[in-house]
Amino acid sequence: MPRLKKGLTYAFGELLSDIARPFVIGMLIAGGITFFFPEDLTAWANEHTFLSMLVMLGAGIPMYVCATSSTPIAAALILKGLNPGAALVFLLAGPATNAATINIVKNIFNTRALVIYLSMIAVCSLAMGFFVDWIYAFMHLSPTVMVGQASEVIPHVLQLTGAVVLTILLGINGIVGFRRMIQTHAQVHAH
Amino acid sequence: MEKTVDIVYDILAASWDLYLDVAIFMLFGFFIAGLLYVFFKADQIKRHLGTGKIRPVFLSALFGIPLPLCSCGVVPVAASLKKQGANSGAALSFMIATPESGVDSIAVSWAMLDPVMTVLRPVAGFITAVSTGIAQNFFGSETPDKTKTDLIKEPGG
Repeated sequence: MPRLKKGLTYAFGELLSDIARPFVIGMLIAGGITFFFPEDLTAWANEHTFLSMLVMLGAGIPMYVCATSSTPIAAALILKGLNPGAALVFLLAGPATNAATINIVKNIFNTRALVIYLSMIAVCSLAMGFFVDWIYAFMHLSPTVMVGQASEVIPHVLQLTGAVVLTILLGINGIVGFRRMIQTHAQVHAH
Repeated sequence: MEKTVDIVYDILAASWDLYLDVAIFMLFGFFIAGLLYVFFKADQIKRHLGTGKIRPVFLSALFGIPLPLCSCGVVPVAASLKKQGANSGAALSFMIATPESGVDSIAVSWAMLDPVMTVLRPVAGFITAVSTGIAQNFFGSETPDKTKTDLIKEPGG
């Protein structure tokens, strides 16, 4: 049991504080997308499938966003009608790379590894994007309709309880995470 | 001025709606991450990797997918993997697989995206990681750049 306690302390302490700030920012960006983006991207995204993937690739590679906090952003974009393939490109390229990791790969490995790293991520993300679009077309699925459906089975009281508990945890850990992030930046720049 | 307040309010309301959908799944994801931490130590992965150009790449991607580390949190682990003697392909594979997906983001994907995306996301992350790792082991080189800073010594993030 002390091991379990240690694990949960790690998850709801260290891990949560790592994610807290980018997660909150991700939720706000998602809210902003919901508000600002045109009501219907579907027509544009269907006509320019490849372009929309390239845009998401270009946005995802330098952006510092973790897997969890990129999810609401992708969900908001899908709700607006972005093709799921382009959303997946963002979900893959976003968390895997950012300006800091690009620099780190060059340092830990070498320039050649960096070229392989970036080009393989770009190629694989785009290939997976096409594959996902194809799956949706093949199965005659419409992603817009299904977003959020999974959570409709959760009673509102439970949702609200979850939100309150998470907010308290985020509040406590957000401060710690913010401090650590500043330290991390200082360390990275020191090199 | 009043209009700005309205816009901010609308954005916050939209964010809150998403947050309600996702909060309980986040808590669940963190709980699983806690269990994972108990049974599975990221810094002991090297012992299980084995040797070769392909096998360690597969295994480190497999280990990396459920681990809930972000792209900066994974750096010290990937660096120590390499330091412990894993080849560059395995370390790169781990460095890609880990941040692209984790138990927490799978839980959140289930809440916010649809089942297809929830499944495909870790699968696509796995394929990306393995392809990159194998490409590195076959086409990359292990020798560092000439101007080498000792970043491995002091892992950040």
